[in-house]
Amino acid sequence: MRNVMYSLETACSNTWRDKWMNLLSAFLICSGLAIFGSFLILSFNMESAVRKWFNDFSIVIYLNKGISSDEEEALKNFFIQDSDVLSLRYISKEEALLELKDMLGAGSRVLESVEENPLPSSFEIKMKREILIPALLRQKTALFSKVPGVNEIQFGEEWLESLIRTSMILKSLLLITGTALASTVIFISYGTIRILFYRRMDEIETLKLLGATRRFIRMPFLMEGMIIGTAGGALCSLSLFASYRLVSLRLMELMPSLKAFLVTMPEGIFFYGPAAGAVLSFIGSYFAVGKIKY
Amino acid sequence: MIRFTKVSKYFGKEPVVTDIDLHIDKGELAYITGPSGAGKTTLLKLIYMAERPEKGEISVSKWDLRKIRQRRIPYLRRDIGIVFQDFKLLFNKTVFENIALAQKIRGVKPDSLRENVDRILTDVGLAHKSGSFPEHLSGGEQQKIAIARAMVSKPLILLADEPTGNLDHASAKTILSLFKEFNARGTTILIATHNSALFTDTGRKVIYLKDGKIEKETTG
Ligand SMILES: Nc1ncnc2c1ncn2[C@@H]1O[C@H](COP(=O)(O)OP(=O)(O)OP(=O)(O)O)[C@@H](O)[C@H]1O
Ligand SMILES: [Mg+2]
Repeated sequence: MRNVMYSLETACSNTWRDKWMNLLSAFLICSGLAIFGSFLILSFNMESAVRKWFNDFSIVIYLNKGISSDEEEALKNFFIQDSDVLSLRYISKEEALLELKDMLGAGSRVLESVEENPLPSSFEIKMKREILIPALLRQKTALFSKVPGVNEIQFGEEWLESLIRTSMILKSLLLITGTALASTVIFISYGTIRILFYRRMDEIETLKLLGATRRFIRMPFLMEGMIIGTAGGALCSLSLFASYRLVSLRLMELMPSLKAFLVTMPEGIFFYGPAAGAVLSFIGSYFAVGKIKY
Repeated sequence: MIRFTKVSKYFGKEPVVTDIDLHIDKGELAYITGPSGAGKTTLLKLIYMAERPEKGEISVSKWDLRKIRQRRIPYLRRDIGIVFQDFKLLFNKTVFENIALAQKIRGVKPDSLRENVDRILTDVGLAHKSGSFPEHLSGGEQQKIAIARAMVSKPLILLADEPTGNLDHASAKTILSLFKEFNARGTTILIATHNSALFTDTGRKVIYLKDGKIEKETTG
C-alpha cells in the first residue's frame, strides 16, 4: 500500500515533469477515442432506426373473398395463438377501401365507378424479432398459406433483407473501427511511455543500483500511462457529450422526424470514456516498459 | 560478511581482476587501495552485482551470488549502502528527495522516512541544503549527499568508492568519524581510496590492489 502511494507520488511528479509531451499524447488519445466514440454514436442511432423499422415490419394475410365473419373470427384466434405472432390487426374490406382511397387521393374517383368492393379483408401481423429472417419467415408463411380461408400472404422480403444487411454492416464496421482505434490508442501510449522510459534510463539504472524492485520502477510508468489515458478519455467524453448535444438539437430542429430515432447520449460516457482511455493506455504502457533486467 | 574465492573478471579478453581471495568479517572496517585502474571500483561492483565474475565465487552476507535469482538482486542491494565514485545523484530531485529515495525503495513509512533523512542530513552537516538541487551544490557537498543516501537506511554493509575524493581535510575527517561511528554500531564497511592518509595509523585492514591482483594485505 505504501509502495503504491510512493509510486503514485512519483507518477504524478513525473507526469508533471514531462507535461507537454504528456499533454500532447492525451490529446492524441482523446482524438482516437473521439473518432471511435463518434462512430459508436452514429451506429447507436442507426441501430435505433433499424430497431424501429424491425418493430414496424409486418406481414399481410389476405383472406378469401366471401368468407363469413365467424370464419374470420376463427382464423384470428388461430393466428394469435401462434407462438411466433406478436400482434395482429384485422382490416375489414371497408377499411381497406378507405385506406386505398386515402392513398390514391384525388385519383380515388376511378373507384367510384366500381360498384362492389373488390378488396379482400386481411390480417396485418407483427412477428417476433427472432423469426424476422427471410428463410424462417418464408417457412412460416408457407404454413400459414395452407390454412383454409387464407388467399395470399405478402411481406417485404427485400426490405427485410436489406434491414438485416444494414445491421450486419453496422456491427462489422463498428468492430473494425473499434479494433483499429483501440490499437491506435494503445500505440500512442506505448510510444509515449517508451520515449519517457528511455529518457529516464540513467535514473532507472541508479534506482536499480539502490535496490529498487522491478515493480518499484515499473509502477510509476504504468500509472503515468493511466493518467494520460484517463485524461485523454475524460477530454473525449466531455467534447463528445457537448458536441453531440449541439448537433442532435440542431438536427432535430431541421428534421423533426429524426426525433423518433435519435438516441440521447448516455451519461455513462463520463465513465466509459476515461475507463477506456485508462485501460488501453495501461496496455500500451505495460508493453512499453517491457522487461527490466538486473 | 564478504568473501571472494578465486574471483576473476574480464572485460573482453582483458583481465581486470584476477584470482582474488578476499575476506571481510562482519563488523570490520577495511580499505582497498591501489593505483588508478587497479580494479578497485570493479571489485566493489562485483559485490553489488553491477558486474559478474567469469570465475570464482562471491558471497555477501546471506547471499551466494552465483545462485541468486534475478528478482532477488534488489534485496541483496538493500543490504548494501553504496557511495558511488561518480555519486549518481538524481539532478531533477532535491537533496531531501535524493536521500528519501533510498528509504522509499525500502518501503519505509513516510514519518520515519522524514525523521531518518533529517537526521542523516544533520550528521553530514547539510541540513540547510535539504531543499536544494544537486547541481547547485559543490563537489564536496554532493559527495556528502551521496554518503548520506548510502547510510540513511542503516545497511548491513557500506561500500564507499573514493568517498573523500572531493573533500577538504576537515570534511574528510568528519565523514571518516561518521563511518567509524557507523562501524561501531555494527555496519561492515569497505572503503576504496587512493588517499593513504585515510588509513595510516588506523590499525585497520588495508588491501593493496595492483593490476587486478592483491599485492599485499597489511594493517594500516
Ligand atoms: N565496463 C568496462 N569495460 C571495459 N573495461 C573496463 C570497464 N570498467 C573498467 N574497465 C577497466 O578496468 C580497469 C579497472 O577499472 P576500475 O574502475 O576498477 O579501476 P579503479 O581502481 O577503480 O581506478 P580509479 O582509482 O581510477 O577509480 C581499468 O583499466 C578500466 O579501464
Ligand atoms: Mg574507481
